[in-house]
This record gives sequence, structure tokens and C-alpha cells, in this order.
Amino acid sequence: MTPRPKPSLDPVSAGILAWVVPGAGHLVLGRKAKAVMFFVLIVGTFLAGWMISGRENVWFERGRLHMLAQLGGGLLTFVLGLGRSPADPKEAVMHVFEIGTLYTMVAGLLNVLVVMDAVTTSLRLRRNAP
Amino acid sequence: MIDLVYLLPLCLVVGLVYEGTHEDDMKVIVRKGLKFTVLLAAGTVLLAAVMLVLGRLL
Repeated sequence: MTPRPKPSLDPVSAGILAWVVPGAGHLVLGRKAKAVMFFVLIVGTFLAGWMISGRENVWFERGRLHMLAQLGGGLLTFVLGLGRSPADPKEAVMHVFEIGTLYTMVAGLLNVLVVMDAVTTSLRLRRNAP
Repeated sequence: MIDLVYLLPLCLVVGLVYEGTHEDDMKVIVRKGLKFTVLLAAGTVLLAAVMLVLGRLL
């Protein structure tokens, strides 16, 4: 088994970094291949969902539960959502709008899983460090 | 039908990310992730078929 580099980040910082940019936590912890995979899959899914729905499905509004899931996307959610007004999709594109919203929500929730993995990876590396 | 076309790529993403958080070796992640994807896609299609049949019957 190849030796892993000692983690340069504590678990909390790794988790925050992983949340802000999907895959960044793993990159800092030396898991480059996983970092690239997580970044491509999560950011790609988030952007695909955003584009499918006509670039209107990410915005901040009190009581909007979709946003709770989309917030998992980190910085991307703020870049796409800040300053946007609530979308008013036409009836014809409502169906596709919902699918796009589902994509962004799933991407956000998957990033929560990735954040948890970054934290546990950091803890595991610290425990195994000489 | 359109829903399924959109949902199947999502199954692939979920499968790969899920296995990515459980395994360390990339080859294992891809192999297990694809298996997971097939199972997830089969479940999704099965569920869609059941809903379709129930929708017709009820």
C-alpha cells in the first residue's frame, strides 16, 4: 500500500473546503483522483440542472425548501442564486423546470455526502499518522 | 418516458459519488459505481412501470 501524505488540514477545515468547492477537501487531503471525480460529477450535475431549467431554478427565498438541498452545492449556489428574483417559469417548461431543480437538489445533497467523507478521511488520516 | 431519460444520468452520478465516498481505489469505485447505477436504474424503471400500471388501473 502506498503511503498517504499527512493531512495538512483539520477535519473542520477539510469539511468547509469540501462544501465551498466540491472535491476541494479531497484534493487537499491527497485524494486527487476522487477530488476530480467529485468536482466533475457534482458541479456538472448542478450546472446541467441549472441549464435544463432555463437558468432560473436557483434563488434565495425564505421558506423555499429546494434551496436547503441546493445549498449543499456551496459557492456555486451563491454565485448562481444571489441577486436573482423568484423564477416565473411558463406552463410549457414547468415539467423540465422541475427536473432541472431535481438535478440541482441531488447535486447539493450528494455534496453533503462528499463533505462527510472529507471529514472522516481527514480524521482517519490523522489517526493513522505516525 | 422523458422523465426516465433525465433520471438515468442522475443514477450514474449517484452511483459513482456514493461508491466514491465508500471506497479508495478508483477502479473499485468505477466497477462498484456502475453496478450500483445499474441497480438504481433498474429500480427506477421498475418503479416507473409499476406507477404506470397503477395509473392505468386506478
